[in-house]
Amino acid sequence: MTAEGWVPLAVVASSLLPGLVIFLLPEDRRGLRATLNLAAAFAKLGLVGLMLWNVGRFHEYEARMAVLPGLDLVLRADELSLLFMTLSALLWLLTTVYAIGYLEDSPHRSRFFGFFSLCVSATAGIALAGNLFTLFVFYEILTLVTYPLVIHRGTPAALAAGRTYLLYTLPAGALLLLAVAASQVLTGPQDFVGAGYLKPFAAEHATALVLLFAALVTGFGVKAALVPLHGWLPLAMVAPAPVSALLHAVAVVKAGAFAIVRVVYEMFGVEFAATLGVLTPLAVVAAVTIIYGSLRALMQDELKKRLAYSTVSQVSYIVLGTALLGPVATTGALVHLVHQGLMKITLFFSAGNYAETLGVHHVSEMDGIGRRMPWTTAAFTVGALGMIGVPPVAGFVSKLYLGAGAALAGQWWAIGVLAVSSLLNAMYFLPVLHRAWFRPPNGPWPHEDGRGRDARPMLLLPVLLTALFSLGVGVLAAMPWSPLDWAYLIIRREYGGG
Amino acid sequence: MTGSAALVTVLVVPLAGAVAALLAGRRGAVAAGLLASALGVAAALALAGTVLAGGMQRVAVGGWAVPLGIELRADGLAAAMLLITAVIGAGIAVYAWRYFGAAGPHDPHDLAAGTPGPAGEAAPASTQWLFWPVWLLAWGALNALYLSGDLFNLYVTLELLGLAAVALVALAGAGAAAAALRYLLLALLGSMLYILGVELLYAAHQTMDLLQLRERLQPGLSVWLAAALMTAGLLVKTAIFPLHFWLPPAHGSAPAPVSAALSALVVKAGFYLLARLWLDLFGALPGAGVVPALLGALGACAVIWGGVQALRQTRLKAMIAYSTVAQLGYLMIALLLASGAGEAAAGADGGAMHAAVLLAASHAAAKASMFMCAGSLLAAYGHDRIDAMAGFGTHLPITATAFALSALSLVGLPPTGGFVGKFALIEAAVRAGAWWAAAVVLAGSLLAAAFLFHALSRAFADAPPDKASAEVPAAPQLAALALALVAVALAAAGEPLRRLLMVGAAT
Repeated sequence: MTAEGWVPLAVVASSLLPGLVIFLLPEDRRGLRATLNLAAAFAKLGLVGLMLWNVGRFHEYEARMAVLPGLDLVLRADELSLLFMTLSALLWLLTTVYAIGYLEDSPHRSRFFGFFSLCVSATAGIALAGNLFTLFVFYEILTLVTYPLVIHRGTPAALAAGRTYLLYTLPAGALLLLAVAASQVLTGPQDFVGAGYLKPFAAEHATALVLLFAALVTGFGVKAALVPLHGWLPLAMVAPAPVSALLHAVAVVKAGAFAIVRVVYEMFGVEFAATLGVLTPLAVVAAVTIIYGSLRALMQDELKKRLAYSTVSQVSYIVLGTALLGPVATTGALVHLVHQGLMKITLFFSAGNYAETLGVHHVSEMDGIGRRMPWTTAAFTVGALGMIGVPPVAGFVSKLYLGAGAALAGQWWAIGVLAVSSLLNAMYFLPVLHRAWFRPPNGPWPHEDGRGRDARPMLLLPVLLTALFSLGVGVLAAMPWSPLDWAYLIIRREYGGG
Repeated sequence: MTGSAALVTVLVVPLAGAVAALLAGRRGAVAAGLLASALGVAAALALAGTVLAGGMQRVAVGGWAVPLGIELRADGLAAAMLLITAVIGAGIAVYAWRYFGAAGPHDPHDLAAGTPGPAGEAAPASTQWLFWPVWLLAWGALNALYLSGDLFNLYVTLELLGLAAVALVALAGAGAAAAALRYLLLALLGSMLYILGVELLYAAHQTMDLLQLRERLQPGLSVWLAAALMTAGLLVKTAIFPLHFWLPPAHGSAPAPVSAALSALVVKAGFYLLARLWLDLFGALPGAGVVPALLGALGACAVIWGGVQALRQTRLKAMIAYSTVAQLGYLMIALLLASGAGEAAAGADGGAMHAAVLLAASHAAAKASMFMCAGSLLAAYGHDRIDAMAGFGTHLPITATAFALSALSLVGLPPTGGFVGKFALIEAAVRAGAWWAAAVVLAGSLLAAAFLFHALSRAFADAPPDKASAEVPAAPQLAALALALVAVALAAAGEPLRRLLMVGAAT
């Protein structure tokens, strides 16, 4: 353990301990609960800032604890972990503000915010995991602490969604457990390292390594919602809007994609994975997921469901970029990890605002909503245009790099996939925007809250900020400390200075 | 405290407590029980500390050396089992203190009046205090068993343990009489088979001491016959599939603290003896690998069968009891991997036995906690039908938390001791190339997840506001939570436990 090993531990603890305290708070201690939540979120952001500053100057943090002989829990802050860590810490803060506003009068708030904090702790553990075992442990914990949030409402539909969630994630966990144990037997203790560590085992165990790759990608692919492992995600949107934000942008889906990135780059090494022949199948799965998710999104009238299928599609951009060899495609994948989170959380916050303020849940009810809720709709527009890939929103930068990366890797078909997907994105987002801005309202809103023009400030502020970030990271992509700039830093690590 | 003093204290405290509780009668029994529990934990800790620091501890009782006298020994394995027993036993004692107290005839929330039917919780209040002397006697028998180094002594302790356990089940009153009687007959059958085997060994080798016997053991028909008889007897006692059928009714119909003690601690004694016999005594026999292989196969069947049966139960306590059947299967699989055949292929690093003890400890803590939760739920709802407990998370948040944590450990999910134990077991299986064992363990985990998460989801379900009828005191619920937290804390116990188990394991 380095002298500053306490920093990554503190990042995990900064949401864990407040979370445990929040469980114990009585329901009506609103102020104290909000204070604790926000203080913890700011503390985490501060710690992440500290690590960013130092890791940017090539200084790594590490904390280590033995669990079994030869098996350590390792928390380490490196360039790649901080990419995800920063995103989730920032979005946690905004989602907390949003959730405090959203759940104002609903029951079981202490339980909700308790599990919410635990969720973020597990995500921090995933981001900072320094080896496969640690990644797996926190990945499983994330499943367990998300489950109570999915079934939070306690209705039969919520319980059914929770059951489906476990039906996908627990067998995936079992498969991962076997894969992690097998890799432990095969390689002995190993930490994640730039360019991977499995190459020396290729001569004797090539088949075993292919199987290992398949098992890991399948296990992590459940949370990343790779087709056909995506079935739980559209159902899980019965949960309250802040939970959807958590599932789709802050934690769960991202955790799956991030784990695949770690496995490809820092366990196998992307170049070694290419020689092993496992990247092409992965790219095909990602491509199928991208197209299938977009097609399904096109068919949904329920707004959150349409967004959920859009997530299925968009997260696989990250996987596709990961599966294409070459630094430019990698940059696209890494930068989309951040960009997709910012844009998708904007869209889900907006959908939550529509539901909370006007009771609007379906696309067909959105006629003229732009005039009624201009700010929310403006944010929604930014997110939607970004998803399509319209410059200068973040999504444009991602798609540019992914496309160029595909061309450089000689995988022209991947450009076709991106083009078709962008077209489909436009087909399922532009009509929504048209309805919202250009059609007159068709009758009274289903459930007006009768408070004013747009959503409550607590709901509006976070969505405006995330929309602003989605624009900002696109416009300022070339500036130092932008996600794109940070992705360059990671590339140096994964391609050995290339 | 010196090693031998600690060893003797560990043995004497529960037995002295039993006598004291009996003499103190109805009013004082609780105090005797709680005091003995506290002292017992301290003594077991001291003993584990001395074993860890100073190696194996021995005491020749009365100063007579083996084979004339009896020697008590504590190696790492014994010290670990003693410590587990003491800690879990203390948790059970705290639970029982208010559990039986609350059910007294003058108490407004009289459990006895409110729970008719097959649950059988209707313990006659006048005999409830007998839980204390009988439980302390059972604990004393367990401790004596773990400390015994010769086969006859082991028989005596095993018999004592079985009789005390039957008496505990019978405490539930007339509702549990059938289960208790069946339990009694099978316990007697088990010890009879065991003692027959012991007699055969004694006739051939003129010693009952395990260490001496191992040196003198000559392969032959009588040894094999003895081994078969003893193993069969222990399989009955440990409720290994297909000889498990007595366990669900006995554990499911006893009062909650008794179910906890039986499922968490008493069945582990049989496993311990099987491990001693097949890893130590008979392990060196030519062709001895067959028996652990058979035990492993039975264990695999137990994991699947117990899981499927648990899934089919509609009553909480019956479900938890079947889960014990499945969990004992894991231990048998670990035994196979730890035995000659498995471990030789793996380079003999003791990983499987380490996994077994971790699993046994985690199961003990989690299962005791879960039976206690079931007792609290039964007290609150007046029944233990899983589907009619909607919203128990709101009514009994402490119990729901304890239930959730112990469920995680039983399924083998992080961050719990059950997870670390299961990971070590699967790693050992993969190392030995026993992929089928890994597959069975994972299938068992998924089955456990299916039935435990089903029960757990009731905690979150929308509930009519006044479904629970009675208040449950906080102390028993906190005891259950404490044991669930023990199961979680065991996740960090891997390294110290490994060092403890190395004491005496090298021989």
